[in-house]
Amino acid sequence: MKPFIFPDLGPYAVEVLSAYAGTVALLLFLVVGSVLQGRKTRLRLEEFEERRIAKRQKSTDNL
Amino acid sequence: MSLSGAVLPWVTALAVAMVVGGLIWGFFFTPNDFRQGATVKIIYIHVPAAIMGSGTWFMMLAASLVWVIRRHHVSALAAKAAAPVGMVFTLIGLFTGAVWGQPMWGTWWEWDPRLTAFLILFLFYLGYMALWAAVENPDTAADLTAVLCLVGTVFAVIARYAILFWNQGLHQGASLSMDTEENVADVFAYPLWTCIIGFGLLFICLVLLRTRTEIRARRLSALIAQERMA
Repeated sequence: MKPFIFPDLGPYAVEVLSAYAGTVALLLFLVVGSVLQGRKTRLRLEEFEERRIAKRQKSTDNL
Repeated sequence: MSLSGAVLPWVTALAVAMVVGGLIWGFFFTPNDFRQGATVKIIYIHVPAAIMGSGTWFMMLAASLVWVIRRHHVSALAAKAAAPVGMVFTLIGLFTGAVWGQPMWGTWWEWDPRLTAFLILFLFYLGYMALWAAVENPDTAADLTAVLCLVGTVFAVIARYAILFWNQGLHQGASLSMDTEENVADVFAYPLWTCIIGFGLLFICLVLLRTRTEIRARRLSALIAQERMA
């Protein structure tokens, strides 16, 4: 089995690595942001619906 | 919602596998180009990001037209959900293009038709998102952003086909072509195709996720409004 060798980027190492690093950072920002926003909205909706059901239940019990 | 919920984990897994696999393949297991050296490795992020940057706008156009013609709320929300995704892809395309252009062309930026159209498209994405945020009534916001989307399509078309329209500027023609003279060598083309498909799947997965969030947010605001009225 051939040993793993990091590719030789020659004089363009800074350009290539910064392009990859910038892309990964931007994609992570987008993915993490979308997931967190989705989770926050889902929890808020679930909480609101539960509170609404409990409220309705309470008013039915009072009758 | 149930269909998108069932499909989402599979699309996500496939997108991650293809993007990570394609980038590792391209970065570690392809040779340097005889003319461009190691900078050719930027092709695996620049080309897929640029394709998705302009492609997202066409998806938003289709969704906006469905809204305008059929008043289908989910299509308006899907267009809204896609905008930040397209904006990030366009930004990646501009950033990696500048980083690639500096050593190859000797400049970070040139007012070349394709580059300029991409910059304007990026500004259109920002304007589109700002307009959604600025208008309180969601139906009015959907109407106004649909018109903006229609106008911005001019720049999405120019961004993609500027090379065909005006054969000038620094940017080269298509990297992937049916013409073997123009097409990149297979050793670069296979990982490039993997990355393009991976970025496409990533786009689908993010748009599904964000559209689901938008639908929930719309339901939440409707419930809050209903409670206030009661």
